[in-house]
Amino acid sequence: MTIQTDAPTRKRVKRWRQRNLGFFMVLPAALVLLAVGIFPLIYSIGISFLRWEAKIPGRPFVWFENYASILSNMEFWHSLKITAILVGIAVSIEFCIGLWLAVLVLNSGHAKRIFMPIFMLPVMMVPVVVGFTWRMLWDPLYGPINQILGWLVGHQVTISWLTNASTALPAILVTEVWQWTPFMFLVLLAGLSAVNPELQEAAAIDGASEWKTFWAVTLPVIRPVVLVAILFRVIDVIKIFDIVYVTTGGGPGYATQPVTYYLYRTGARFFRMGYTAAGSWVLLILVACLVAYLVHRVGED
Amino acid sequence: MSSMIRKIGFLGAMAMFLLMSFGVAWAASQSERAIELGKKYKGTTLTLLYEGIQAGAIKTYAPNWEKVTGMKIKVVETPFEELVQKAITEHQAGTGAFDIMLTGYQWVPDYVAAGMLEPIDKYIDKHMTKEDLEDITPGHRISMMYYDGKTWGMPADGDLFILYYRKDLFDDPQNKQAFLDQYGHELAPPKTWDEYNQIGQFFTDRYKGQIYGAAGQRGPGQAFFYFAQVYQGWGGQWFDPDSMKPLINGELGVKALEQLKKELAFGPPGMEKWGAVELWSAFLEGKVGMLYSFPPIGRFSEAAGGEDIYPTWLPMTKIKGKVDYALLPGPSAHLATPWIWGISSNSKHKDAAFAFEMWFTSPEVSIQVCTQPNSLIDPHRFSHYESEHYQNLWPNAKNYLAVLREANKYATMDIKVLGGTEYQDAVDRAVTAVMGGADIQKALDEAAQKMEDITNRFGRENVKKSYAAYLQLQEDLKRVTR
Repeated sequence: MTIQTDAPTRKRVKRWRQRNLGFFMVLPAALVLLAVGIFPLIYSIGISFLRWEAKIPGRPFVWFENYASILSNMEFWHSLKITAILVGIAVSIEFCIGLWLAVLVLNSGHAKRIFMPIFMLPVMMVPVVVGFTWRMLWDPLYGPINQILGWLVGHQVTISWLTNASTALPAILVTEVWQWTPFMFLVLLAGLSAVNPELQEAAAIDGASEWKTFWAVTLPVIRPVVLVAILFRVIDVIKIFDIVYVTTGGGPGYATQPVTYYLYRTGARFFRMGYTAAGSWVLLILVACLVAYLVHRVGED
Repeated sequence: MSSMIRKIGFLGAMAMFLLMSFGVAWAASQSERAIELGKKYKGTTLTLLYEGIQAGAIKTYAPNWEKVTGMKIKVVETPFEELVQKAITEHQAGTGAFDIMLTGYQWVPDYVAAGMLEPIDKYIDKHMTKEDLEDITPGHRISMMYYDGKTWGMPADGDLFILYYRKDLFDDPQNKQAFLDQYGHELAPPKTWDEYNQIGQFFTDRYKGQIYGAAGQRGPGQAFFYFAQVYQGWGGQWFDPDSMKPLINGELGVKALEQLKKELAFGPPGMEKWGAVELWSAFLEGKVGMLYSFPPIGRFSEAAGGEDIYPTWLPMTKIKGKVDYALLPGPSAHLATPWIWGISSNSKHKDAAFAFEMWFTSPEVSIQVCTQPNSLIDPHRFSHYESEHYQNLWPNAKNYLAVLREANKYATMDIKVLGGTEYQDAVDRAVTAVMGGADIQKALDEAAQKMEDITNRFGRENVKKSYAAYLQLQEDLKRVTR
């Protein structure tokens, strides 16, 4: 005996399958994403309410004690200030140089094909390698930077760039700018290439100077691209770690310690898990506010 | 009756046999007893957490152990800065990944608080003799093995700071006369830090940057030891034992940092970031007149044991036969992170781990390890100092060993206290800040405030108890050695 299903039922099954098959295909990947992406976030919220330290027995629930502790910690605020300085100066310089290079290269014809891969080399390097390379370049005795300065001034120069509080942060900034300006350049070049030349021609016919055309026509047109580029770089510089780790270790003292490095030390060196989780959330909220503002500005455009 | 006699005879013979076996076993050397013990764990694999740069010795000698016991040794190498991190991470995760952990003796209170270490008293009582332990010099034994009434590991190293100086420069008649003319006293190894500064400045000026008078390590993680050498040498203590208020920002702390800062004036450029490799390289290339550092530089400067197994990460010595040794001003000798072997509380092979530890740290094996040309292990047993092999390793080795042995009497300890890794970091940061141009008093005040915060976090009474144990170790050390 065979069981026959009627046509409407078959249709219903087929329709159900069509509607939900995609969902079930995606489900495993979504579960994995939830497990590796969302679960740690939720777990870290939980940890941030515990006094969990490897060297102190017990993990009592302490409500907002970790948050209060981190917000009243001068080292945290100092580190945040270092991060803010790095973000402000590095991104500004990268934007200015990147835009300048993009404008230069935009109409350079064949030269563009030659310069593009050269400019892109630093971006392709691993930050740790960049850190080690620049650590050698900044070396007071054997580094080429002091050698070149020595030739210029006519006597031996032995500036300890990475161990002097007044030069260590600028040295990190130079390293960071060197590596990431090409990224800014590339994104801005893409934006400039997409500008309709008729707009610029119209401005020229109306008698606008080149500078006026760039300032009043080109820049407003590429404004969304600029904001996206800045947004990417701001988020990236906030996360700076590798270069600091390799070049200065946050020193001398705490002079070059950004907030990521501070949290690394409290978490991975001193194993203050609850405190570090709270710090990470405070940082995440601050970054989210900043990003929300920038995204809002992009949206406006 | 005859069966009774036979039985008594048999029992007597058995007793004799057991007594003889026991006697033979007890008379055997530490390494032989360890091998006998190790044979029981044939097939067991032990995993060691080790500093990468130190791992050469263990890799050289572990096959000998594997051959005689049938055990397997696996070494996980990691940089110095990540040893604590890796050990704690694995412990937190409860993986039991390591059976033996190379442990700085001052990390013991933190490791004990985290429940990471297995006390080894029961193994020592069962398998070792009084003589085994008494061969370890008191400076190392007392400082390194014990904490809070228990034993946490066998010493496997002996890092004591002494002075290494270029006797060819010191003995040069022209240098001697010029120094006498300039300072009014003989050019000789310094007895005070003022003399150290004078000699340092003298050579730097005289050789116009070709040779620098003196150099040291001021890089992050290393700067602390140099502060401790000077500060504790002057009698500085870390805390007031009653209130647990930090004392480093007092007059002595300021004076010690002033001394370290003065050394920059006549030291090589960039010294603020130097670790051992940079310092030793400069000395081996003949660019530094004197230094105080970890003892391997004594062997390396003579390429002792042969140039073919000389450390690949250092330039070949150019100062062979030109180096002599002396105690540092005070006299005092900082015991800067010599290693013990700690057995992990998560280990599933604790007995086997102790057997291997007992073998590797035995007088018979450790003398081979600490005289291996590229080894970073330093003498820490009487049998090391008295070893004819070691004393004849290079022409001046006898003096090297004599000065290191004498330095034991003046050993000062790292902050072996609950929270010690964090206290040490706070002081270290203050030193690097000052080397980078920060105001001394301000940097020390900040460090003292951080130390206060750490104390509050760990609980003042807990740290006080731990600090009392540390002070007791210092007292025991003085009582036994002086």
